[in-house]
Amino acid sequence: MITNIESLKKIRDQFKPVVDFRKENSPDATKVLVCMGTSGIAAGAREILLALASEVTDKQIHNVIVTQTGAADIPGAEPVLKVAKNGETVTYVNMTPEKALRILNEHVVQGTVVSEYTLDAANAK
Amino acid sequence: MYRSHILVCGGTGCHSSRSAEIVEKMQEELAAVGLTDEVQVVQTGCFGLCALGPIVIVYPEGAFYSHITPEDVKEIVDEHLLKGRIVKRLLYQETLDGDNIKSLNETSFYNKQKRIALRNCGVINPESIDEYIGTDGYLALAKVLTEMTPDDVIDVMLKSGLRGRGGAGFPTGMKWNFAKAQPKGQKYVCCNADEGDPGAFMDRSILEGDPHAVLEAMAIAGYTIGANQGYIYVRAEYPIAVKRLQIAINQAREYGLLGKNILNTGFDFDIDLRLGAGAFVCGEETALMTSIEGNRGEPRPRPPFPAVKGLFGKPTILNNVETYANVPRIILNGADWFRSMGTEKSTGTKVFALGGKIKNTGLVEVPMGTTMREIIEDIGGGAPSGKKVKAAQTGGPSGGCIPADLFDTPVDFESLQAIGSMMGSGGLVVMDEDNCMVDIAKFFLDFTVGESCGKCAPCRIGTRRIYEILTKITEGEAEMEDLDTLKELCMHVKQNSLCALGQTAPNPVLSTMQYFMDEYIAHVRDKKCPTGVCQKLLQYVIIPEKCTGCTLCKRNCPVEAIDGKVKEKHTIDTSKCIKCGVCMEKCRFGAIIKQ
Repeated sequence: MITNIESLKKIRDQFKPVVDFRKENSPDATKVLVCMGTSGIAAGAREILLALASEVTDKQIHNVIVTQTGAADIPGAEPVLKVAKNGETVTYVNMTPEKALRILNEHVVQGTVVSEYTLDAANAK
Repeated sequence: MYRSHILVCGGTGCHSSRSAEIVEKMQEELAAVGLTDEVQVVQTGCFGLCALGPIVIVYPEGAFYSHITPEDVKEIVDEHLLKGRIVKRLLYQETLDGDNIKSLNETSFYNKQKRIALRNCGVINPESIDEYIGTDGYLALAKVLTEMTPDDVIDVMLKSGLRGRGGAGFPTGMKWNFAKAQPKGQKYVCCNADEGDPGAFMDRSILEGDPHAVLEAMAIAGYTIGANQGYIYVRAEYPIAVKRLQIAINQAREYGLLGKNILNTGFDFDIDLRLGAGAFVCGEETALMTSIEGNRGEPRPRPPFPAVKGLFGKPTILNNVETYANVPRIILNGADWFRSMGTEKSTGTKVFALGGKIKNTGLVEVPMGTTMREIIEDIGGGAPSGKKVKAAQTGGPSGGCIPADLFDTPVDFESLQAIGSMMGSGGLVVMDEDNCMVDIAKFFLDFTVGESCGKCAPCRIGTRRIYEILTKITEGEAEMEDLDTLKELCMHVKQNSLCALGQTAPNPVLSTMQYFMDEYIAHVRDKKCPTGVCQKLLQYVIIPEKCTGCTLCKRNCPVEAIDGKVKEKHTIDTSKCIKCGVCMEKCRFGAIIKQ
């Protein structure tokens, strides 16, 4: 039973993200892609995808699409995460949910690439 | 929390092409690969592009899959949801742009649309009040109850310029004001969901896709005029709409958004459904109310108008589904926002049901003042055969045919009336070169003859006489004088009928006579149907040069009207021929034609 406008707004705030999820994203939205080929899934890509997706919903981060893509084809680097922002794609390797959330916060939201996790950094080692 | 949402259209059109099965199968397949907790399957209302149904949209990517069958489901789940590879072969091809997918709003069908009344159709689950509230649902009711007086509401409605979407275009605020001005006491709020025009399905889609919007608007209307009871009169032929409305009413009652003391403000309001048996005349307001009262649906003279003496003799307002669907947004966003769309006298948007000879059959919502050409050619994609569009019929059996050379007319109440048609509830039937306009007029009159309630003589007898003359014309038995009689009869029926059914029934005849007189004359004077639709005016003949004497036509003719021996030229005896067309269908040499 809803007896006042505040409790109505509470339900609204709870379900608004659900409904907004289905709105058309603008073409300039940042894409966060989790590589989910067989090896990626085996290495734990699913946990990363779910961690990112729930963070985006919970913190109501707008204009970001968290989705999956095919195998990364980078041996020994799975799980792999790609962030496509402003026309540039950065590839991150050997991900864990914690690292992925840090990338979401620092790269996607604040705009600073987390250079220590990138493929380039891994290759340089 | 779900990482992906699969929206499956559950409107009547997609439902008939097995969308319910698709939902079931989707859940099975998701369970099989263990994704049930990550992916949500939602059955929504209509997306609008019915020609491509059943439609499935997957978010967050916004992948728009068309013509999906239950057999395609496994591929979508395995490829797209499990491995993240969009199934390109099932995508609506217009959204495919190289390796990327385009947003729906960039396609020609959607980019000129402005969805206000249809805002939640195809977005929310119509059977979830929570999702409706998630779109600011019931906040307009809350705002009205806590911050506004009834006069404030009327003020906003009047300023918004909202006019009735059922056809006549009466200003909604004015209607509410009349009912409010009546002395306090029992009053009623009714919703006309008796959508009867052939080819119109706007209201059905709103009820199926966003039922709570209508309930909320009716409660707002109840508060404004001082009513505590509402009725929705919906036809029993809309089983999905009826079911979802009932679910919505139950949910709203459970949440206390209908019933006693809503939001602790002391305002009581409840809504009940009344099912109609599908009589066209019950879309007329007085007949509708007579039917709710439990009597045979017949109109009565006005005045007194329903706002003064309506349902059970009490002051009543009656608005159309689409009109109500606009109300909560107007309250939340303000009158100026609504006025910013459309034209000066016809504000806001209008939903049209595109049907007939058109590529993108479906529902479109455009700002008032959009031209017919934009709707038919740009959004609708023109005739599917690539043939030339000849005319469009707006307003169903009450409206008129608009010829293609007037397609630059803006769609608003005044402009359509000026060219002999009307807005109507929003049915838009497109005709191409293969349609005979006399036959079209006859089709609509056949409908009104059957639907006339019989109460007043001009309509009961007049429409039948009009139909008889049209039949004579299509059978080649009419004289030129009959055309004058026809016109005179039409004017008579128009001027003397009791209700809008009879007053508008001659419109299809008058408008086709106005714009396609040459076709009438061809039927009457030359005894020819230029499009080859009217059977009685046709003759099947064999072209001797092409006939090989195979005897196939002769053997298949059911009335032995074809004469000829093996390897000799055959002939058709036109006095025996019943024009069934079997010979033409069977001939392998294209030697038989109709002329």
